[in-house]
Amino acid sequence: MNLREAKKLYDSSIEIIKNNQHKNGGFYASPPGTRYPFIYARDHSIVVLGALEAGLVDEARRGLEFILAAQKPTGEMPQRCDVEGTDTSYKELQIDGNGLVLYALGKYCQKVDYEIAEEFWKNVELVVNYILKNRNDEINLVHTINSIHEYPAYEHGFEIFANSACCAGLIEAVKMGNALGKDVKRWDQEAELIKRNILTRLYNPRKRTFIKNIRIKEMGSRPLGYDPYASTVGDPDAAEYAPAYFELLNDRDLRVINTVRRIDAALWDQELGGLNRYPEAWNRNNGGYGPWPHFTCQVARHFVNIGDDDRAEVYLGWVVDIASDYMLPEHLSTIERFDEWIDSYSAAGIMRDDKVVMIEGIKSHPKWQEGFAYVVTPLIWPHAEYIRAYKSYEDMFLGGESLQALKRQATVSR
Amino acid sequence: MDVRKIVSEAFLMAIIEGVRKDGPEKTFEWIEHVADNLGEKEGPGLEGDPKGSLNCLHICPFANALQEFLIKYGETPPEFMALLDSADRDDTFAASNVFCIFHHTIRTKRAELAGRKVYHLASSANAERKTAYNEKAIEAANMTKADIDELMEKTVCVFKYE
Repeated sequence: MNLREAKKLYDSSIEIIKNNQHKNGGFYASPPGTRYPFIYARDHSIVVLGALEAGLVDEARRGLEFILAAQKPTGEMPQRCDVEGTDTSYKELQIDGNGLVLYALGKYCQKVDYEIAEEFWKNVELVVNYILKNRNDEINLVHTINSIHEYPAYEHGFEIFANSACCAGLIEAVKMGNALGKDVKRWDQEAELIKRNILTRLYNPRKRTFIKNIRIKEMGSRPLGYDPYASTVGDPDAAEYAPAYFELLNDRDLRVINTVRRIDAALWDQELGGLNRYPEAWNRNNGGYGPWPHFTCQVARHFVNIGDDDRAEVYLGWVVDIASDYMLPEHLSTIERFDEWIDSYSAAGIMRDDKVVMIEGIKSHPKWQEGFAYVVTPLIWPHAEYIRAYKSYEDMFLGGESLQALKRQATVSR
Repeated sequence: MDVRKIVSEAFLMAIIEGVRKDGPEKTFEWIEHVADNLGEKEGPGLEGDPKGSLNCLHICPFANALQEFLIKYGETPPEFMALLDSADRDDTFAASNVFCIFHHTIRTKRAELAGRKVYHLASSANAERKTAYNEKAIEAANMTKADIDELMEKTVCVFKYE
């Protein structure tokens, strides 16, 4: 990996995050005038985490104040909102965004202080209660319609990323509550119950891997086996790394190592490099099937955390290489795959007008002339993931700090 | 038995019964009252895909439920038509189907909670794709019917927030 370029991309990512925060505190998913000029609870929370990692404490705080104030009366965090914080959701419930807001808030508190948690404690209670209302008490997992891919066909049921996010959010809420002297015993028990079920129901010991989803139509189906959707989705999906991403398990846990090994083998793009989010055959490949920098960064952190510097460098180095003018796209593809997507969607009659804007953006990107389809550049989320992955890499493998960390680890182990 | 389907059918049947028993005006008020309460629960919010100064819906979220009901019922019930006539007398709606009264009232409540006003300009969410216009709202938005027709070629509902 070109370390100088890697550092430049890190610096650029910080600037991109700063430049894409509205004065009211919301982080755009992509800049105004591009495809996603709104604040999405999921993207926004991860950008808060990236900002925190980069030391942008004020920006992170303003981001948290913004999103907490945007909460709906039911306790739900909006799927997306405008810069005023007004709900402009257009998709069904995306409960992972609720867990992610709590998770980001908890991380802020640990790094800075608990004042914001005290100030917004009513909101914290509302989010926690909202998540728990969506928990099915037969399986003790949180029911989901959409999750990280916004793709109900594979995410309707008890999906792993959303459950991990919600569980991690509850754990952070417990930590905040304990720090503030609140009675959060029940939340603690609920979080433990959900965690236990993620690690058993959403893990396949025969294949030694986490699975994507237990497909269930209705949250209240009882018994679940009679639900009309009752089935499991075991295809490889980058989201199956979620239990470690959200610190429910250590990266060195063998279940995580094997899950990532399977993801790496199945989803690393042999033609373009980088990590695809799910199998091509799922056939929802807007802009053409291809690798996503933010999933590549997430899994890069796994390789950093297990000390696999070779694979970490391949993953992170790929992100550095594909950055265009130090900006990262949502994902990239080849012209051939792009055309294949246009053909298949057009023939099926499902090409939407708003995709025309995206198509124009792809074709007018300088990389198109080089044979690449760059879809939505810049997307802010991958810059936040890159900051987090680069900092981990730097701490672990570069400079004196990593050596000190290893020494500290060795001392603790002794 | 698909309970969600039954519940939406029951709502439409209740509308028919309401018009028969209490007349279109009272039923209209009842629908608005129910929608108002739901809008309040949902909280402040804005709908649709921004298109310049207007917002649009590409599909009507209620269209499937209505279509399935009409397949079962056989034809548009006269009670629905009576209600739509009531909506026509009110400059608030561009109601192309009976759900528009319900939907736009929720939209109005949520806009009000967000400190905004919303005008329903046109919609065409019916089997015939026949557009219903709200001419006063179109005029207030400084638009012409031709402008709206152009938008309606690719959308089913147009409204404006202020």
